Amino acid sequence: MEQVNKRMVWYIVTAIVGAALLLLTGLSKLDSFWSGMGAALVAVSVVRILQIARYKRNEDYASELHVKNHDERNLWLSLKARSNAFYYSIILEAIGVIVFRIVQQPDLSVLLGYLVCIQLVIYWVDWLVLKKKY
Amino acid sequence: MENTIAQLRQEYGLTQQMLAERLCVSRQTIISLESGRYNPSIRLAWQIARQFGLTIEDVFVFEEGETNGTSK
Repeated sequence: MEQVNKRMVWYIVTAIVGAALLLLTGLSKLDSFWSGMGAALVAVSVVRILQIARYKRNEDYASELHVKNHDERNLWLSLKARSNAFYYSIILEAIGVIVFRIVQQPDLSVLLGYLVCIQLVIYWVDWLVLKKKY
Repeated sequence: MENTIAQLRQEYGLTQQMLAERLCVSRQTIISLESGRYNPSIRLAWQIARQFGLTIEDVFVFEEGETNGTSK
């Protein structure tokens, strides 16, 4: 429950930050990008705060949510989906590197190339860390 | 990996939902386990076996040549 309360505080803080961004945009202190960011922060935070409030009030809902979040098949599916997302992203980006080079867009091609490299470096570093840990 | 979860569950008069609640997993996990689409972790396999007063080997049948992850 302590963790739930910490999350509640965190979401209240993000909602306040989001509201501040909206306010500053309304006062023309920031550009429209920040109003979008602020609206998103407020929306997500409010939804999460309502969810946490329901979690604290309703035991059945809390139990249901606990199972949903800790169910090992759900966790495995999430891990598998992330793994697939990474795999297909790399392939699509690599194809993009070639396609953008062919259509005379070298800047985009180089940018995507860097992105592929960064992702692969992160993967290998993570792999080495995990290899040492396990 | 084949298993006898569905058979054991019926012998004990449990629904999928009841077994799921006892194991703190979703009903969908029980469905996937029973159909052999999902292989459980060692912890869940142990919990399932203990639920029926059996050992893991009694509930799960490992076949030579099987790899990690899902069965299919």
